[in-house]
Amino acid sequence: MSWQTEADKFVNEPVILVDIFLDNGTKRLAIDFIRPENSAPFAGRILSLPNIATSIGDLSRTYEAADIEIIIADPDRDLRTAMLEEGLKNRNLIVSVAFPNEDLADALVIFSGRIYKYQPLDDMRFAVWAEQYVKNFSEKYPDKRITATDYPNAAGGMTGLIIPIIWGTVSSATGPLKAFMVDATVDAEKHLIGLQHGTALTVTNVRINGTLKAVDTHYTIAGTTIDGKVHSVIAWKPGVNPTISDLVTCDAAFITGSEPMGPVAAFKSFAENFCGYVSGDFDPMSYADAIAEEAQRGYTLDGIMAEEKTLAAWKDEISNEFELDIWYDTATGLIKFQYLGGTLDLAAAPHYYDYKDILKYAPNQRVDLIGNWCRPGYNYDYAVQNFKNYHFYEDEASQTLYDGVYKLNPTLYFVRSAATAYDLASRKVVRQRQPIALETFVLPLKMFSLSLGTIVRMTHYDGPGPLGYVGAFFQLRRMELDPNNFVLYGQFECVSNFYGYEFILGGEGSVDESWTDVGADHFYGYLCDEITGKFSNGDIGKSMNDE
Amino acid sequence: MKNLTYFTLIDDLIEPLAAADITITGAIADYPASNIRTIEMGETARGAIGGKIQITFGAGVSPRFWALLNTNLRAGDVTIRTYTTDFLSSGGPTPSGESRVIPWRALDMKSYFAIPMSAQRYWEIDFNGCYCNIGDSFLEVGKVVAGLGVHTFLDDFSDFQTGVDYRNIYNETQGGVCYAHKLEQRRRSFSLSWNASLVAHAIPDILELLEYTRGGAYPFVLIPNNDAVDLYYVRSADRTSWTEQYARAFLTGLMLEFRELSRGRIQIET
Repeated sequence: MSWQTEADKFVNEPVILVDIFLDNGTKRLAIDFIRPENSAPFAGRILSLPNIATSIGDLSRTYEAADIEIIIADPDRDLRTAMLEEGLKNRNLIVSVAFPNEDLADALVIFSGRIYKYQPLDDMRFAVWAEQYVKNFSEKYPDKRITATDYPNAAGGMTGLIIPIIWGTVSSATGPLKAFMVDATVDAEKHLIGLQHGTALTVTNVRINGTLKAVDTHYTIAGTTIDGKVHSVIAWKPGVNPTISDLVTCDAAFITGSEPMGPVAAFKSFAENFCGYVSGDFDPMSYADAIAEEAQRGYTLDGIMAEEKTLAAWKDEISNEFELDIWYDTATGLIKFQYLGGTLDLAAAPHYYDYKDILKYAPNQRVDLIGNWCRPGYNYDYAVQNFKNYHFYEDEASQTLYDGVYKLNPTLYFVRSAATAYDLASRKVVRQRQPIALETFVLPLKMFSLSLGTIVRMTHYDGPGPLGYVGAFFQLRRMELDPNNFVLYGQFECVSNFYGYEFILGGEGSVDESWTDVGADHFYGYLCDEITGKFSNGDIGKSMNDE
Repeated sequence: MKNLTYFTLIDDLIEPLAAADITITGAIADYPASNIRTIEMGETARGAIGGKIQITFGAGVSPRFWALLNTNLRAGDVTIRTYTTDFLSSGGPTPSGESRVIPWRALDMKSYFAIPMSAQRYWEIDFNGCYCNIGDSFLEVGKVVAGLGVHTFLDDFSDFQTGVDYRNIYNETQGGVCYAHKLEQRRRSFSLSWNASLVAHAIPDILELLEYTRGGAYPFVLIPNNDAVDLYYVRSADRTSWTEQYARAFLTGLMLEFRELSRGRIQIET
């Protein structure tokens, strides 16, 4: 049996459990007295619980962490004592749903965070505030700066600047990277390009004020390891003598192994090598799927991280550029990945119906969220701070239908490929050429286990169209759990517009619509170019998922 | 309704005891024997099936009323006996030779000794021969109260209602499919009213109960009929105010409402 087995029942007995992890042991609290068979009881001390909301963002994929306030009865001064004896700040706190007739180990975690604030209240109550914790998501990176210790001869004004982290291949006709003068010693001048882990950068096309310089004649590239990271430096030959007022630019490439990294691989690598993550922090299955997807699309992450931003902000930026969802899954505590518009295994998408699964439908057609014209900037030049190239994609049918040109102007700082820029522009338009449907479905307890980013199918008579939603594809983008009434307010984005539908070609009489595998008398079909996966106008094609 | 009886914690001899004064055979650290003296019966003591709870009072006492609340006993009467020497005496305590029986009843059980036992410091609740609920590998007791006597209302109620509450949440789809979530186990509720013009003792009786329970702050043991076996550990449903309405010096339309406390639930664990 599992949590889901019990949750699926029409009648069950859920309880909400709260664990606060202290040095002196775990405080186990609940809305009732819950007495496990073999371990410490949960005291019936929880007076109020708020709704718990998490999100992978709306259209812009902005991360939203759950932030909750719990009111606890403290008649025995348990928490009042703990707050003085060991402090409660930054202690881990978990909220879970369990069924007393199911194993405690199967409890579903619906919140996992850390206490950031607490205070005693009147009438012997106690309040704690906790925020969902994702490892170092609030920390800022890159955090390495040019210091006087590492670079005692740095030119004036260089000390304190962030050292960029370079990903993939960053090149242009004029050299998009600006180097920092970290040694102004005459005839021994040096310019720092950036840092990365492992091997040194491949640096080419070094220029001073736009004039190309020759390797070994004018400079050499040196890699200096500081704090385990390789700092790639241009070491000038005597007589070249660049000054602080000269603009030194170059191309650089950081490629591990034989392949450049796609956005997902690069984000994971960044988190592991610079942000304290380990491989076990990532969901292996979704990672493998996303890696395969980005390889198929030919995506690479090419750019630099030159500003200090939170890890959450970097995640948002990469997600937003590449139509990619990266989120923290509360139930498993792992980081998950998913490309929107990726191929879909129909059999895995649960189908929910209005008559038996959906408590209520709260329509929210966002006619303001429409985009049928897209001109993303890519090939960003960090030296002069502008985009060198723009691509263009539009949907004229949408412009006619909705009586206007609705422009999208995304910025693709990590894209340097025209093909990728075009691909992303088309995906963004295809996704938004019709008004976005961000529908709220109120769902029963059995769906508490849904994970953000999950693709589901919905059938609801009240939806738009002559028959309403009929098996329409939705992605869960925000979930608000009401632990007091055991309902889930799920905000779903209708993704039917841009998900490929699989189909099988075969004899009308002999092919079952549920077939998902090829066989002697049924074959995968493509309503698109098999190679590009698109229609001739760039729209995403319809193909079987695992051809 | 005749002979409505109650026992308040102010009369309880167990609650003031120190934790060290109470032991249970096969004690489990997370469920200490001292939990039998806490106010909530959902906070239980656990021990070995068929074991004993031993209580050491500060001086010799002779409680006539005993109640065991929120037990997991499935069958078997409980024996109360006393000793004349400490439970830790070398060679074992010396039995007084006196004992009484609390007849088994599911969840809550009580006994009022028509003939009191002699006053002793060392009392033992013996569960030998008792059976616990199927699947439970432990004896569980939520609360024990013991007192010298009980209070009985002198007048009848004009009206007496009792019922059973099931607090559930029902989430229903537009198609009528219902998902029901049980929030708690069955809890008995009581509604009692007087017509003051017909009774002589209601006001002092009520005020006494109000005083003993501090207006509902403290739960108490309610025995609807002193001649029957059932008892309920209740608290005022309206915990802050009981309204007494006076008209021409008569108490009219006074209503008391009580509800059983939560018993909590046992969570399966492997």
